[in-house]
Amino acid sequence: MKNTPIPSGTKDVLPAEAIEQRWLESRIRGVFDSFAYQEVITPTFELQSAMDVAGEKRFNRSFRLFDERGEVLMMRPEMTTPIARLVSTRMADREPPFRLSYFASSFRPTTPQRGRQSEFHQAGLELIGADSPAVDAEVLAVLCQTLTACGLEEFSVGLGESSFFKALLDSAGVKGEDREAVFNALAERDLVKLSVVVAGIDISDDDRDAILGVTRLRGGSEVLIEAQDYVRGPAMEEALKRLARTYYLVSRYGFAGRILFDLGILSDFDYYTGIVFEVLSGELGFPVGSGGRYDGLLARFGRPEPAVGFAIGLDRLHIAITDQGGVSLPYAPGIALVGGFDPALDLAMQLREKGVDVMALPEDMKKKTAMAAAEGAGIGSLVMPDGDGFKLFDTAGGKGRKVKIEDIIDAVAAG
Amino acid sequence: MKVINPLDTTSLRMAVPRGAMFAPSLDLLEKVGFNVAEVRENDRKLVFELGEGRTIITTRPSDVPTYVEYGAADVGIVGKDVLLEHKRNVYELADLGFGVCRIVYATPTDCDPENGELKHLSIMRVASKYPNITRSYFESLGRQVEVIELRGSIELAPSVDLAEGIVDLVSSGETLKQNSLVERKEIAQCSARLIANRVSHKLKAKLIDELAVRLMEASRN
Repeated sequence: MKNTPIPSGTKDVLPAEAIEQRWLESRIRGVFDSFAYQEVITPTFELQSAMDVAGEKRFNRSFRLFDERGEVLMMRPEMTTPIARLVSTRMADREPPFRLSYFASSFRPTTPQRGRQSEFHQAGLELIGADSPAVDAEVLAVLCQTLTACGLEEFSVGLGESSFFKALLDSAGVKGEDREAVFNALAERDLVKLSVVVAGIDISDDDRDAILGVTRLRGGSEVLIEAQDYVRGPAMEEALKRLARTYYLVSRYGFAGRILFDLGILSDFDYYTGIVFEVLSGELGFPVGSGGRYDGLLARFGRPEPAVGFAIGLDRLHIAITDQGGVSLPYAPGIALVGGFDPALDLAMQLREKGVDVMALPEDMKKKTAMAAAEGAGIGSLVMPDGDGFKLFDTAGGKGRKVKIEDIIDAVAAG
Repeated sequence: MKVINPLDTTSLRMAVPRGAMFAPSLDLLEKVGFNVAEVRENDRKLVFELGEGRTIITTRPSDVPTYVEYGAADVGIVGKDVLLEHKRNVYELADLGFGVCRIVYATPTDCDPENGELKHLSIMRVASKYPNITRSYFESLGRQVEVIELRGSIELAPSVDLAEGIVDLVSSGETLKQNSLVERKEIAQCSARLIANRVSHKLKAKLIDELAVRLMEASRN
């Protein structure tokens, strides 16, 4: 056989994995639906000029192509910007709030790793046009409920509030290049560099300690108390109050135990304006999902509306669940039916109508080959004609038993 | 299948580099109460259970950030040069003070880099075992260079006309002098760093913060 490669950073998903991934998607969809988020589907590639509106430096590294007029197109590197575009154009005449969800793959050139691919699948949502702790709490609750519904048992949501840190920098008078240097050190997760940068800024020792202190603030709800020591002025107080209120409401949904405060959450300060969070799960070295409040993006598309949302990496979620014991698929009744093309075609049709999956096999197929075919397709039962009746075999082994036509459904449905 | 508990905040796995930083790393860990006697003595074993939930794994220095990024180790000790070269997605928590050295750009004594562009027909060859650091340094200057990746004895390259300059680690500068090379520019200052995995840094916050503080204090004494 010839070995024909696929592009770096992409992958083929074979049936055993695909069925699990689709099941996870259906669980996620169930929770999204229950909170009345409506799915939208946007183009796989966008005009580069449209993506440029977002002003995101990280889009520079994207897959691009040309259309027939020479326009530069960009494979979408994420879904939030296309949805911001859609809300500002196609939904311009509708009144917010909008609760929108998506199930889509996005594309970013990368050095592939486990859980990091150039084409990656995400399930996510955006709540646009509303700004309150209640709204933030709903989004966090949907996230926690979704992960729980998928069977992910061990996870925490690291929750920060980017306006708290920004307000601290404001009150300390850190601006311009200094501020950028602080954000850069944080974006690189380089706390050594941060302490060097902060030592070089002309501010009080007290403010220096506060900046370094806040970036280390993480843990349970005690963090909300510890953070009060750093409050300087009403903006910080407001940010902390809001975070506490959000936490209270998340606890009402029953997910307080999932929240791990992290006031030094170190991602993308330009973009996020309020809460910012990421899903942490066990030994998977990177977040399963992330999100936050981004009140500035829609204004760039001419429709200033607050917004909050998250995306779950479906490949990463799948890995995390597999690490924690595997996806438990619901039992789906199914049989392989020898003679299912003909002469047992009628029986096959009847069974399918009753909700039993039937894989038809030729009537002259030997039992051993038929068993292998059933097993290869992940089907647990094999039915073969036997005299004037049928014989039912379990592909896991054991002797076959005689069954009547009318009993086959019951026998298979029992599992 | 191992069922893991991400809220297990009591165990800590640390990656320690074999090689030049091995002894000073262990000295420092001993100062903060790690029982490293066996790690010192046994140079074949790679994983050491120290009790109290502490595990040390010993790896090649350049592999430490990889173990930490993937979460195979919660924390690690590694030179800043390795971090600059590999740009792994990890937290850099503390400067541990030892293993101090510098990454410099050097050329032969008789070669003035200011006139380098004419002399080398605009594309200069630079030998280094840090291809990424070298490339990004010259990119930041807007200069085109051809990076020649070597694994060792970098200072040899200019004398046999393999390259016009080198980017390498120096501590005393003696090796440069012996090979008729002159430091033209310091690119970075390096020392041993404590790094942490992104997820461990949150889930084992107390344990890791405490370790960072104690190691930093111990390294100052």
